[in-house]
Amino acid sequence: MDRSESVTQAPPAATILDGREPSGQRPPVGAASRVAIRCRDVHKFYLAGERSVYALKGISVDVREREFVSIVGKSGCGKSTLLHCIAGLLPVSHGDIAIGGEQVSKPGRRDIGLVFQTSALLRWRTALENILLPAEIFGLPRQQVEARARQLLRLVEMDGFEHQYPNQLSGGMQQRIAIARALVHDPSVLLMDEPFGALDAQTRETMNLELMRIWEATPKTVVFVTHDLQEAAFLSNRVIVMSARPGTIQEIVDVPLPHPRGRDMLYSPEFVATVKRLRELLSAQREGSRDGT
Amino acid sequence: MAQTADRPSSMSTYAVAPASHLVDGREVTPAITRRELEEREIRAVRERRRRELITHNAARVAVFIAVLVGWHLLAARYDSNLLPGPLQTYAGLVRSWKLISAGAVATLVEIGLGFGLGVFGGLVLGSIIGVSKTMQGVLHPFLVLYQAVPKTGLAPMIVLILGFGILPKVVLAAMTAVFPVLENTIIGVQRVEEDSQRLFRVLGASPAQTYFKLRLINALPYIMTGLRGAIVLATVSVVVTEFVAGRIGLGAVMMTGYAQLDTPMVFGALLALTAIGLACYFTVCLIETLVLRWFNLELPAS
Amino acid sequence: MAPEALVQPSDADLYRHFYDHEVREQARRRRRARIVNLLGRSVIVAAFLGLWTAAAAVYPPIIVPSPLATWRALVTEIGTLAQNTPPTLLEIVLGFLAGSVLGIGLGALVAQSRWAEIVLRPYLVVSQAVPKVALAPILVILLGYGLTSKVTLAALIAFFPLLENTIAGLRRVDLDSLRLLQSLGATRWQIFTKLRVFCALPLVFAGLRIAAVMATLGAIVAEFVAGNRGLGALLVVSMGTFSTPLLYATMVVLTALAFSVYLLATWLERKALHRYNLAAPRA
Repeated sequence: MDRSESVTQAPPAATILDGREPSGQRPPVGAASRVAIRCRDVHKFYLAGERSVYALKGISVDVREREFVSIVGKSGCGKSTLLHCIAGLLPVSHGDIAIGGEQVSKPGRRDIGLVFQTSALLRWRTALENILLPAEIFGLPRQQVEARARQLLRLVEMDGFEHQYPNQLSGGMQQRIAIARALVHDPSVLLMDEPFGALDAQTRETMNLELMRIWEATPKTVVFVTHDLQEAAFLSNRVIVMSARPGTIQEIVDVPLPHPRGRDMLYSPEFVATVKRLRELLSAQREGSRDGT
Repeated sequence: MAQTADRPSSMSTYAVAPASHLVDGREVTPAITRRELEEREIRAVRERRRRELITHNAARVAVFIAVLVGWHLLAARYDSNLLPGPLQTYAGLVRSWKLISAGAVATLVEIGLGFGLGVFGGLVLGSIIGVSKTMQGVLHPFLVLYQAVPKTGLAPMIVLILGFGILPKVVLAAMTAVFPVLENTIIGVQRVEEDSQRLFRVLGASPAQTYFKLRLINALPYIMTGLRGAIVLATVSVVVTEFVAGRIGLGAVMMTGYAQLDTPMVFGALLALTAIGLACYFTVCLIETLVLRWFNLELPAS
Repeated sequence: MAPEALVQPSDADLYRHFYDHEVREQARRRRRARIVNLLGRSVIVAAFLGLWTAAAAVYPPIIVPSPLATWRALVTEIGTLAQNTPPTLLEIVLGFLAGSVLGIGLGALVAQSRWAEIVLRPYLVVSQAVPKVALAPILVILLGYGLTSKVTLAALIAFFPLLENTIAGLRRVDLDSLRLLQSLGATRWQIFTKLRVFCALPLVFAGLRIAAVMATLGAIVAEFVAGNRGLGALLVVSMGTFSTPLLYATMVVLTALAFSVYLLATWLERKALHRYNLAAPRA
């Protein structure tokens, strides 16, 4: 059932932002079998005060275009570090990372959108102004971008809130704005670092469904870091399980469920089996470290 | 919970269905809705606030009057040239009004100019130093030295170089006022949320963009605090320099009264100085409120 | 014989490789920072002395004496300087002590009553805005030219920041710790001595540091006005008699004195906070 072998070309997905209604058919991922993100033998080592941290060791992984990949692992296993390396925020100690064929050497690529756990909205800007920030920095003319920003506001279901300030919005709402901001310059890759980690369980569930809906509308390559196994299995095509100290890829688990995902899939046997497998992998880590290896 | 058959239509969607209970064999349903409870609570809080406002301000006025009366009683035991009471102070103020008002204008101008210069310098220098870790490292001991030594001690030296006019007061006021603004600008420019910094880096923002769109605005609350410190220090500097170079300003008027043993005039000038100090401080507070409100940076009143 | 398998670097090898690299990088960065700091600071000191010498060349020596002339005055007038230093030091210390004790004591009292704090708050704010040094002439008139007026001014100026910091510090209590003690049935006094005092320490010691600088300021200004004894008085007198090298030499001594007082206060603050593990974590 490995869809990655299929080579049929699908028509480019119609998105809401093109002004056309989505056809309801989304191209299976693997159909666009080009590699969006390629990591080869990535090592990351750094000194933090007294401690030395071997954060990433020999990470090699390919993420295909329009694939949704999650990275899970216990705290400190290096998943955020890997994401930051892909974003170009951290230089790697060894190895290379390429996005869309181009090497990542320093931050500032316009094909990446980044969403943080803390939403990082500027509290002196309204929601709309926050969404427009990347465009301002890139020097794009405001007219052109404002229409798109408003479209995105509608997409994340926050229209009506353009002139609200972040402190007037709830956590979930702030993250919606953050997602809209990450999409405003139409990046091909979306990197998300535990974006729903600071939200309560109910809101997190809602946001997962919202994210799926948004992703259907604007399909991008997504790398999603989380510690929540259910969330990872629910959202992704594949889940990368990392182990800590030093951070390596333990295994990559396929999620054999079709997109679009719905709430009912949470109870399907495939889903339960996937989450079970993920849990087993993480438990195996714990026992391994107890052996002292 | 039992639902009554005929619900009043005014009940809000969140109405708690009243629990009925038996009283004397009849069913009694208290008809209280969430909205009513909310309104009752708001009214109670408002009442309490109003009451507190009255009692607190009454107490403050009482303290003020008590101090005034205490001063009067204490001063009555002494000669008015040693310790004038409130009435003699007022008389002294009126008597020397021309002198005091002229001095007040001069002092105000000196404070304003010194403050403005100091704030400007503090912002510029603070911005330069704040974004450069190397500069901070190099300058650190000098900044500590600058903070530790009261710059007002330089007054005689400055007066010697710059004379007895307005200039030495403005210069010393600027030198004193620059530090709080400098320090707070540095802190504010650095203390930016890690994720916001990452955001700007990922977007490939130039240093100028990061500075003006992120660091500077983020630093505004700190800078405003620095402004408040700066105006207080500027006022103190100007007064001390006027003591030393007594020709212009309220400090000079005080020294004149001091030399002539006209203590009511000294007190009168002090009163004028107090008024000026307060006016300057509250002007800066007003600026702070306006600026923070414009940028939506004010903290909610808890 | 079987062909040798390709040898993969073991985990330990990789670790050591990266560790050595990072440690070397860090050492290099630190060394460079030290050199830059030393160089930069030397440049600044040299520039300062250079500017001073240049100014001395431009202005007549009666306005700006050269560094050398200052040094000579420092040596020849050491007697006068030594004579005037103890009074100033005494004023600073006594003023600091008086102001601190009163400030902390009154602050602790006011902090006990929410009502008192709210009523007095506008007066505290006002006292911040009013230049208390302006009281110098009045204090000298009332209390004479002796030690008292100067100590009083120093204490008065040192008092207010401490009062404010003590009140703020005692208010700033970790709510959960407070609830814990309350649930254990602790008395108000117990809560005060076991919790509030420690929560207040950082702010109180910061206030003490400010008070030290304020006390120095107060002593100097009072001496400006009274002009009879002490380093501040010496400054004013030498300004009036145009004994400028002496003026500059006095400035040097005064700067050294003020800086020492500050360093002492900072050292005390660090020691006290360290003793109770209250030091703010390094960023």
